[in-house]
Amino acid sequence: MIEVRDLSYEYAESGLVLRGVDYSQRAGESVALLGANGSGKTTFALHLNGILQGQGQVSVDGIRVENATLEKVRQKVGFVFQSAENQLFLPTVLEDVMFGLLNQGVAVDEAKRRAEEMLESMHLSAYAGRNPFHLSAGEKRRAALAGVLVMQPEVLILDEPTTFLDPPGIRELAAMLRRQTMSKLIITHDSQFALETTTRAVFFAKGCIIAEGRTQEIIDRFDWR
Amino acid sequence: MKLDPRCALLLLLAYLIALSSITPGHNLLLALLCCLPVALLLASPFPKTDLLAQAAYVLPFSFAISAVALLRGNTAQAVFFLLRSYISILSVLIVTKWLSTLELLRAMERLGAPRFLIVVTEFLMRYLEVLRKEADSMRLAALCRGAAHNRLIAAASLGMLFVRSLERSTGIHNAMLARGFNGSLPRIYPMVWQPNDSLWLVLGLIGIAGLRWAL
Repeated sequence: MIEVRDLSYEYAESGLVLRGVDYSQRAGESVALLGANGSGKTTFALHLNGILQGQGQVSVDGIRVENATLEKVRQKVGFVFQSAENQLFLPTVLEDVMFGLLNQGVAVDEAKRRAEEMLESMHLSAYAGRNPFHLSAGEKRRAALAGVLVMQPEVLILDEPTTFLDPPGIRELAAMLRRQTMSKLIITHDSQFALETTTRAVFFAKGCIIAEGRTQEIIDRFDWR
Repeated sequence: MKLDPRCALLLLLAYLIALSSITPGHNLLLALLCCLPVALLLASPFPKTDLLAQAAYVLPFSFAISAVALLRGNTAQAVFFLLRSYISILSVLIVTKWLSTLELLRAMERLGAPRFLIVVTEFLMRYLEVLRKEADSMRLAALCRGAAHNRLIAAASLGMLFVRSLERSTGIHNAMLARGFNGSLPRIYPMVWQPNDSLWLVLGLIGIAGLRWAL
C-alpha cells in the first residue's frame, strides 16, 4: 500500500531531517511511528500525501507521489494533524467536515448528507452548526477526524492524536480507530495508545528508521513507556 | 423578513452615494436622509446607545474637515460635515450589525469584490480569536515569571506573536492541502435572490433617488 525508497529531506533552517528512509506498509495494516521529538516522524508522514516532497521515491497504492498525482494521492491518504485547531477553519463543524468532499467534486447535497452521517457516527450531530473553535479539545479532535474519515481514505495518518485528550477521550479514540479498517499510520508518544491501535511499530532516530517489529517488542526494546 | 445581503449592500451603497453628493446648504434634504438610518435604528433590536456611541468614533476624523469650515467662520457648514459623516457611519454600522460578517463578505464577493481579498479577510477574522488566545497565554506566561507591564515586553511578545502566527498559518495551509484544497474555498450555502429582494431594491433605489434629486 505504501512504499518509500531512500527518502531524504532537508529543511533550510534545521538541515537534514530524513536520511535515506526505506519503508513499506501493507493494505489494512496499522503501524505506530515512535521516536524522540525531532527524529523526523512528522516530516516523514508529510511526504505520504505530498505536502513535503524530498529526494527519493514515495508511492501509495501504486501511485507515485509527485505534483501531477497529488489530487489522486490526497483522495487516498487522509491526514489528521496534531493541532485540531489548525485543521478546523470553516465557520461551522458541518461545513468543515464537508470541505474535503467538496474539494473532491462531490455535489453539495451529497456532501452534506455524508457529513451529517459522519457527525452522527462521531456523536457530534448536536455540534453541526457550532463554530469549531467553541468545542472542547476532545470534540475538536473528533471533528477533525470526521473531516478526514468522511473522505473515505485508504490510508489514515494521525499525528499525535492523543494530544490534549483526557483518558476517557483517549480510550474512545482508540476504540473508534480500531473500528476503522483502512491502513493506519499513527505518530504517537503514548505507548499504551500505540499498543491498543497498532500491530507493528517503527522507531525513528535522527532521521532514520533504526528498528521495526511488533509494537510491544519495539516499546520494550526502547523502554518507550 | 430578512433582505438578501446583496440587496442590503446595494441599498446601503446607493444611500451613501446620495448622502455624500449633498452639498452644504441642503439642510432639508440632509434631515430627510438622516431620517432613514434613524428609523432603521429605532426599528432594530440592537442596543441603540451602543451603536450611536460607536458611530461617534468617526467624529475626530471628520472634525479635521469641519475645522477648516470653522476657521472660515462657517459654523453651519462645519456642523453639516460632522452630521453627514456621523450619519454615514451610523448607517454602515446598522447594516453590518444586521448581517453577519460572513454574510457581508459573501455578498461582497457575489457583487464582484476580489475573491482573494474575501478569503483572506474570512481567515483573518476566524483566526483573530486564536491569535488573541496566543497573545493572552504569552502575556500570562510572562506575568508568571515576574514580568511587569512594560513596552519592552509588549514589543518582544508582539514579535513572537508574529512568529507563532506564521507557524500557525503554515499548519493551517498544510491541513487544507491535505484535504485537497485547490485555492478556493467551496461555498456551501448558496445565496438565493427572492422576488421580495428585487421589490425592495427597486423601491429603495427609487426612494433614495427620489429624495436626493426631487429636492
